[in-house]
Amino acid sequence: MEGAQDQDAERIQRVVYVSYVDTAQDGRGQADFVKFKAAVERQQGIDPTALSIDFVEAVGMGTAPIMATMRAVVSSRPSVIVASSHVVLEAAKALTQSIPILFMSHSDPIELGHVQSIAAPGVNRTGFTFYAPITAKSLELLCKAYPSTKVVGFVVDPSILEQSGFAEEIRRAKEQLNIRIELFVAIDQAELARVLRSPKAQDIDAWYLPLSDVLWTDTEAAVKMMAETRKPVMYDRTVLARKTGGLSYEARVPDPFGIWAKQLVLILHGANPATIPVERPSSFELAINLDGVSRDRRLQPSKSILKRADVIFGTP
Amino acid sequence: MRLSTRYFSAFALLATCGFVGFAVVNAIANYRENIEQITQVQQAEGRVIATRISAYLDTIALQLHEVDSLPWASGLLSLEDEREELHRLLKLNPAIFEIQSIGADGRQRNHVSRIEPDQVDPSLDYRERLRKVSLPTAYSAAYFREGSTPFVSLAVRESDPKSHLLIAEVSLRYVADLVASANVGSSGRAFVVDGSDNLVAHQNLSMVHKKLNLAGLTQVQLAHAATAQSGPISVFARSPESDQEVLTSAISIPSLQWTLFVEQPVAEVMGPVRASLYRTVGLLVVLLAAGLMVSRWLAGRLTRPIVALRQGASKIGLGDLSVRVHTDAGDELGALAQEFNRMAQRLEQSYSNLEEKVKARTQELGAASTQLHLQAAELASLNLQLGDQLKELEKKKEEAERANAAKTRFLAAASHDLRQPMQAISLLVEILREQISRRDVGSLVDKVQLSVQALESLFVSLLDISRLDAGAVKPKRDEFPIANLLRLIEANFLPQALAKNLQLKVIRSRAVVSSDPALLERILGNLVSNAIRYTDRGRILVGCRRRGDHLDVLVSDTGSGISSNFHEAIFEEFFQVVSPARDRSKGLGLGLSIVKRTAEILGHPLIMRSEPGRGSTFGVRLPLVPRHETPIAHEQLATPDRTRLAGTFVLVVDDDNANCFAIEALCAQWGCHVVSGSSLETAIESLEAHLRSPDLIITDYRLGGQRTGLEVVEAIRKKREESIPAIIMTGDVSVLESDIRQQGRLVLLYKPINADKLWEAANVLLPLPFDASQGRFAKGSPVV
Repeated sequence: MEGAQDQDAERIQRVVYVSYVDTAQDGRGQADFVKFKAAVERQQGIDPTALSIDFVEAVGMGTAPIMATMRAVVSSRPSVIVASSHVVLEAAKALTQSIPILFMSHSDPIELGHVQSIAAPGVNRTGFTFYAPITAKSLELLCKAYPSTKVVGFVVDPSILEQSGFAEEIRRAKEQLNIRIELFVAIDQAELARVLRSPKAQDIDAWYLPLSDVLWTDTEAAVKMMAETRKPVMYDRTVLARKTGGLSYEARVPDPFGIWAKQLVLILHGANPATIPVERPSSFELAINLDGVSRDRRLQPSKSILKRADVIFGTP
Repeated sequence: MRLSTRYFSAFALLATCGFVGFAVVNAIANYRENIEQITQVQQAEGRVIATRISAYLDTIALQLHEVDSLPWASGLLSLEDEREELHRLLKLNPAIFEIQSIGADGRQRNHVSRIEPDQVDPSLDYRERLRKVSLPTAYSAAYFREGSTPFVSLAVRESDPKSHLLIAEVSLRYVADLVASANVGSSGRAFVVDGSDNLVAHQNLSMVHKKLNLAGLTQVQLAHAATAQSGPISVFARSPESDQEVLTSAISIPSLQWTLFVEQPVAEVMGPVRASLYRTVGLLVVLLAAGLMVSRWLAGRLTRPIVALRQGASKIGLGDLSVRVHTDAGDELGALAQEFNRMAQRLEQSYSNLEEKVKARTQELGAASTQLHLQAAELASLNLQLGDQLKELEKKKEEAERANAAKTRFLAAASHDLRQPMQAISLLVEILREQISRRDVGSLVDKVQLSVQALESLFVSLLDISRLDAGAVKPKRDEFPIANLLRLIEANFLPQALAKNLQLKVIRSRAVVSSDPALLERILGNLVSNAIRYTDRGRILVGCRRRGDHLDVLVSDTGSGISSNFHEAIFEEFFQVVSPARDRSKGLGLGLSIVKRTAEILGHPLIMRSEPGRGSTFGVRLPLVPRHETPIAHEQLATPDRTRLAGTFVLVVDDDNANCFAIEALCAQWGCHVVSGSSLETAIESLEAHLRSPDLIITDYRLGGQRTGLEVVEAIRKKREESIPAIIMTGDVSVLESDIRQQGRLVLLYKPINADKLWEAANVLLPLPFDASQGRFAKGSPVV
């Protein structure tokens, strides 16, 4: 019996889906895991009886808890590790160069060293990224929506400033759009509040807030603070525009769990993750929330942008 | 093989062939149908996808044409209007990442993008591209934007030379989604190659990112070779993804000059075929089992009435006539069973009648048997009596045989013991008769000689009978002219016939017969002697008569004849016809008895015809040797010339002094020079005084010291190194002539021997005259 069980264990391929949350009882990681499992089950060429997908949740702030969890995961020698967040991916990268890792990235995976190239990662990692060089395009849309915009305040976290392409993108936007861009660094709501209260902020015609820790840690508070500025705000996530008003231009990755599932099937069938290209955004979505327009007519976007909007929330 | 087994084998073979044939045909048909169905499914799915791809891109092209067909050259619409239209197109088609508008002058008019700011670069010159682009829609080869996502440039331009050229960069990710939506089995794949055989879409996105050119694939080459009229093609080929064998269908997308391929692994394609085959095999097994059972049942059903009939017939054959065959068959077998039952019933009735008859006959036989038993008992009693009588007879026969043997032994002993002195007397009387000159004394000597001759004849007859009874006579058959024997008979008996004033006439014959000449001489000699003895006047005729392959030698006389009452008795020993009172002058009555026994030994039938007063004819029937004739020699019988042996050197050896003296004196009377001895040693001693070897040895057979005359002859021959002729005399009937003759140049004479016999034997051994000048007989002496 034990021999048969050993054979079954050898036959079954084990996938570990690792989710990271700050605190327990979050529930978002579990929900994403369910979506992932559903996407895998939709794939052809998978024997459900020969596949085990385990859910592991890394809980706690700081690097130590995550590393401990990932050590346990790596030492169990799974067939594939699904790193559902940046911190999980960083921990897995540090612990294994052989176990295939599926990742997702909001930033440029090449810039972060996750892969060597998009078409051929060249390492034991592949996945998808939401990153697309659309900063200039987003600023253009902001300016088109509010043609009087001359100065744009750009709120970023420090990590963005370290990215090599960021400065070039800012420079190109300035040239192409003929605007002034003021950079503000904020890593939390307090810093954001301080930025918004700063004298320079008074000169800003419109704000651009790409996804950062400020928005990630307490989205509601951050977007509320931005709404209180009564100035146009451009985000890079539709969900933020829907919540607080303003505009958003998002590079979208349709069915990200489906992408992971397809890549998982390829790996389980013997493909080397180093040859599986990283999926990039394939659609772009312009969203406009008209809720704030009724309170302040200055926030009304131009007609041309309204025509181009892919999604419009609220009513003026 | 049993009938049911044959039926079963035939049905089973028929069912097996049928089912297996059905299974094979079904399997082949299933295979073909399955392949055809799969290719149809592939082609249908491929057509759907191809249609969707074509429609998708055609829709984009159509929208571009809609925008491009607006009156941009009229001046009524501004560049801003055009930009808005282009933005509208971007909104409508997420696959379009960029659109640029090129004016008739080859300069960029507008440029909208999802990623880049809408910037126009006036330095770009599109005039060359304007000339090359085909109207109204043109697709570029697939390319990979930023190295990962496949794109295609879609250019549209209206026919108006002043119209703009719209170039849209379309992501093929949506085409890939369409291809990915293809549902071709559990592990099927769909992919698209463009006009340059570049892989532009694949269900496995990583395949697309490898930027493969599939011009070398068999299915791609065949797709190029196929014409539009030939429609979709389906072939077995290698998959570009896994290199495993797949069944591929190629569907052309003419508007794009692309080709869509839908493939499934052969293992999967053959899955239904295998499943169908397994089902067919399973069904075949079930059908075969059922067929075998049905065959067995059917064979049993068909043969059951026949078996019942056979068993019924077998029981009837064993005597059970009450057996009946029960069958529910309503066909010919049923009718046969009924007929069988009727026959059995009739047999039973007949048997019953027969049994009654047999019972009656048995009772009759019982009575007869009882009678027979009584008779058998009587016969058994008689048999017992006969047995006793037979035993009595056996006993008497044994006594008779013992008496006969005693008689034979007596005769042999008597003849041997009496012949020694008789021979001496005979020889001495002969010598005496030659030396007596007084007439009265001579007459007296002649009478003595006649009496001695009669006595000799009696002894010879007794000797012959005793030799025949002792079984000492062994015939030695030979083929010889009968004339020689007849001549000898005439020579021997002519003097006796003349002495009785009888005429002895011997008629010569050239026939050659097969017989023992010595025994035949005795037969004929006895017959002639008898004829002379019992004929008082007239003649004796000896002649031959051919009877087919036989020759009858007959001796006829003119005697008194014999009554038929005595025709058998005359061949008995000591029987005389003429005078009941025994006439000793006519012998002992042994002649014909000797003739009969000798003829039986030789196997020659005897002939006898005789009537009282008309003489008698006796004869013997001899086998003729075919085609052998000898000339008849008409020789005059020479009167014995006793002087021809004069000068012959004779050695006489005999341990009986009287006999030795008589022979020595007789030979000396013939003019021979004689030396003698009583034994071998004395004979050799006598010869030592002579340089000359003896010309003739005359010796007795039984010599003293267990030595025989034969050994004496051999010793002297060896000593003298010459084959000296010899005469051996014996009174012992157990000595066989055949043993003596083996030595060559020897004559055996049975005692008593008179002067004539001795002279005759010497004359045979020394037929040529003695050459006194050479001191020896002439060469060429015959070997006896």
